[in-house]
Amino acid sequence: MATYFGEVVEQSSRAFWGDQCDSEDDVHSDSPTNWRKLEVSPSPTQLMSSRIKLFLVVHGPLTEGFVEACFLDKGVPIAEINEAETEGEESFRRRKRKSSAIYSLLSDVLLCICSSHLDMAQSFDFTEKISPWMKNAEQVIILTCSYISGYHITRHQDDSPDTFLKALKTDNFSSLVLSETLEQPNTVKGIPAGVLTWCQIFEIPAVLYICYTRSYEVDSASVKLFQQLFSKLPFKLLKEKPNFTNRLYSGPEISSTLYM
Amino acid sequence: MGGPHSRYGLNEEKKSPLPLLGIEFCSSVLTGGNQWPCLILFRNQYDSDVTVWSPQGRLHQVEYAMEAVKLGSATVGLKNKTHAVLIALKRASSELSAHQKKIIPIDTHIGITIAGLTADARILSRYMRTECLNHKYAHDALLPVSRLITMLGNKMQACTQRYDRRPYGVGLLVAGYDDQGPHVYQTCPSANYFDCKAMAVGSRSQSARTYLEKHLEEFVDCDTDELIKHGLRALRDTLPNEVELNTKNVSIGIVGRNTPFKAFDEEGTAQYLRMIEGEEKRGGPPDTTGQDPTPPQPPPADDGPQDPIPAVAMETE
Repeated sequence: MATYFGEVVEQSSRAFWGDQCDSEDDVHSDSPTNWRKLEVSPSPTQLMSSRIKLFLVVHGPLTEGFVEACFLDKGVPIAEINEAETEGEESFRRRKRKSSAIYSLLSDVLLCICSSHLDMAQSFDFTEKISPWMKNAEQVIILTCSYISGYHITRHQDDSPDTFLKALKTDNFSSLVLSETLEQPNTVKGIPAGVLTWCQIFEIPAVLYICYTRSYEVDSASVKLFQQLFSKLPFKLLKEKPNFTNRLYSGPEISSTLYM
Repeated sequence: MGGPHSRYGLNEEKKSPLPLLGIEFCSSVLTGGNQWPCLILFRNQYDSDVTVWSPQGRLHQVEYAMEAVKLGSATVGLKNKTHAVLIALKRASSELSAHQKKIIPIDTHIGITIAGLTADARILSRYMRTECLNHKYAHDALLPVSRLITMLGNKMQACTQRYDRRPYGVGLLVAGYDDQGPHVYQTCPSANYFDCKAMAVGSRSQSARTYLEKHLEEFVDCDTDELIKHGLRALRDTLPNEVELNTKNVSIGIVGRNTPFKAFDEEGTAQYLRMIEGEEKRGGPPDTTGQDPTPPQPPPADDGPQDPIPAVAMETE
């Protein structure tokens, strides 16, 4: 039984784990000190100009694929958020890490694409790094995705839709929310949760849309709901003709030979 | 509460206890009330073994196995008075590999198409072939389709009741023809089997089932060519707009009166694809313009027997 909020309780199982090791090192191997700090370049203070209408945060393979396929050309990033490099770490330098980046889509719309390498433990640090831009925004929209198996339902349903949208918003978000609210006991976790929480505390109008789907394969059917969402917003961000031919993300279940 | 609050310089007047690390964000936090966020466990405590029942009377491992069927590509089965047809969407695992076969002949009067774990499908198809051969050897007659399905169901059920086995993660559509006429059966990992007039299983198969339901009355009296065209249209509805059916990714199998089971080659498939070329997609996915499709509903507050509190959520990423 969990004794405090957020505690992950390991379940007992008859599965035999050969290496039964109860050392403290193993249990806390993912403590925050093992994760690198993030740094922004260039510094936000050098970039802040006028107030922006929309700060868009995108997290997850499906949403990233949607942006690549359907959004206007985003050009070069105006800022990047990377893990801080420690001197003498050859292995770190040799490793290619995709960075998170902020792009200017329109004169008053910024897009932040979160790197898939970021861990949940870095959510807090990441949120702080992008907070200067969020403070300067009239509203924040966060897009994320999750497997449909993470959506809590009572009964196994053969006819459940393959994809649907749910939303969470801050108290002061007054614009129209374009999908149903996410019901309990479902939750959002990680960077999207961190950003939305930050907006709630600092009273920035924000809404989070989470797309539940069976597969992260990016095609016109899987991103249809996002396309419909953005067609109703007062920002012209969508291309006339989306491009799905780059096989942006296949998902392990598609490219593997396990399933046919 | 300690560090997280102070890092944000939380105003002490704020009452609601927020999960400030942002690791979790419950909708309850934004209802405006002073409720504590609901306690969440990330594992269902009744899902680690197939032999464990939940208090609601569910076998979660069996239900999870049924999700594996939805990871396979879509496949359709339908029948008229004299023939049963299987249409399947083939998948290429990489650029280098050919599209993998989905339709497996079992006997001269039975064929199957699969959706889910490939290896499990291979084992089941081998079992079905063995049973058909044994029956033919012993009785000098073809094994009735319904009997084969019953035997298959019994074999699959054994895996849902033993702690050292797991359910088969594959769903089959079985097309057969015997003294009783043409048959289309669906089997699933729960070891249930269903005699169907028409059925579709696999990824995004809901669109195909919608098409089949709309045209169900037409199948009985239509001829074989029309039946195959209906199957192709149903399968086409599972595809996104930018992907088309072609001879590489479609497989057609047919069995019936005076027709031993056969899977068409590319030329045979091309002939039927040409017949539906140029037709617009009809009976496509449920209309979602401007609205979400009806999602599965979460449990109501006062439901009957429930899993004990705290509520559980499952993470399978």
